[in-house]
Amino acid sequence: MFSKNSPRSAATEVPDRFVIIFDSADPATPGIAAEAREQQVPQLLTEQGYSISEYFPMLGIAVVTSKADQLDDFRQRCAGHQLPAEVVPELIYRILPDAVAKDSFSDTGQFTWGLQAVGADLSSYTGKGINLAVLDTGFDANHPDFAGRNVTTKSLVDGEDAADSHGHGTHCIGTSCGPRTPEQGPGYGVASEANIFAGKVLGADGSGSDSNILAGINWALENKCQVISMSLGADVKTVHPPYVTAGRRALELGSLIVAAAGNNAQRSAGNPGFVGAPANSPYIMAVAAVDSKLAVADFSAQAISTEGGEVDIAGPGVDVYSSWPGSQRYNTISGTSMATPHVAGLAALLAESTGLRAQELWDKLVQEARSLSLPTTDVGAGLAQAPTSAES
Amino acid sequence: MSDSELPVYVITLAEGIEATGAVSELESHGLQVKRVLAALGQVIGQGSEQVATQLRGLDSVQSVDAQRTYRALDE
Repeated sequence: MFSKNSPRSAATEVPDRFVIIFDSADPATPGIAAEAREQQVPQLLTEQGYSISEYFPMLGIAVVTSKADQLDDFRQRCAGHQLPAEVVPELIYRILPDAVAKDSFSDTGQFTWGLQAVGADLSSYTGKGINLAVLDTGFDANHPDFAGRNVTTKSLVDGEDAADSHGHGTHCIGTSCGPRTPEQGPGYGVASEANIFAGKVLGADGSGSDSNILAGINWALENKCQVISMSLGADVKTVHPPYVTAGRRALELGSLIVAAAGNNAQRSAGNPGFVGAPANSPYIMAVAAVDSKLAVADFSAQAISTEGGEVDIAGPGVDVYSSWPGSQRYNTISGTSMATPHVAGLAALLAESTGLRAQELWDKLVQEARSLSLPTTDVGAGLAQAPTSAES
Repeated sequence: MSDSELPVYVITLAEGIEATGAVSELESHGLQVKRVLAALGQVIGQGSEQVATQLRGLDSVQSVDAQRTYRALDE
């Protein structure tokens, strides 16, 4: 990937080197004849004292070594022969950082591999001012890494409070909204200053019903959450109509729902699996999981050919370190569940940096994803990425 | 079958139908309303299969779907 003269690529001009284009800048004007390119141009170049070793007659382009004032003289001579000639400095092009981006990561003392892979470790955005809902098994609101954070909890599970006696919810909230500079261990949270809305829709056994989950989405919308993360699913191929409506109404109300694509694959055994519900709603973003070498995770479900059955994007989902309830405090686990809160956190950063919401936010996430050398049926647009300071 | 054993349904209302206002009509057809989700235009309730069939015939109802169960997706 090459680029010129943009702040990010920093192409530089070569002193006393110029590119001469023997053509009219006006596309409506016919180009110069082949005879002129093959005979008249090299003759004029030679008469001016320029080497023709870098003249390309089929293109009508020459690269010459010259002082600028000598070129002005040459341009006037060309004009006298009714020969249009545009002169631009020769540039040195460099491979852009994207093209040499790392493709292997590991946890360090400073950041988890996931935060590094999505660029959250380098982003100046933190999700500040964005309401991010995680609908899961609840949250350990007493976890020391979240002291002082703006947290709202709600249980939608009959007979259970909002505390997390399972662990999965606290882990997902850690990835999406946890700290980047905790007191101990590596930073593990993407949107480290987002307002946290922890909706408990899965019980202590890690399961929950439509009634709970839809009530959780409704609660998140009532609280104007711009991003809703759902690391849950069922292994069914058919689209469940309530989530078509829920996803569409969320987008209408300015909210983006991201959901885990599913863990029903066993690729090492030849089973690619399929995107399950509710991620297979056409209005809910389906998230696949990749490992620290940016290969698709063995368990990560593949797209199916029904509307909404696509994989839309991917996130880090293997061996993900994050918060855990109680005295254990931290745990490292895997799943499309772990990829989803990475993407939700990134959506919050993009919502903060761009002001985009709903479908426009979806489009931006996909547009900014890092392309991977993997089928779109496995990873969609690629690995979701954090906005940098320059991309606001 | 006791009331607690009746199947649970998600009733998605037709476009433009306000959820709170639809409750009495749904109840009049035998639905035991559990939750009203105003932002989504959906109502969660229990009833027999016959009740579900009746609800599917209402102009104010877009779909009636039996409740499903989901789980956390860690490995």
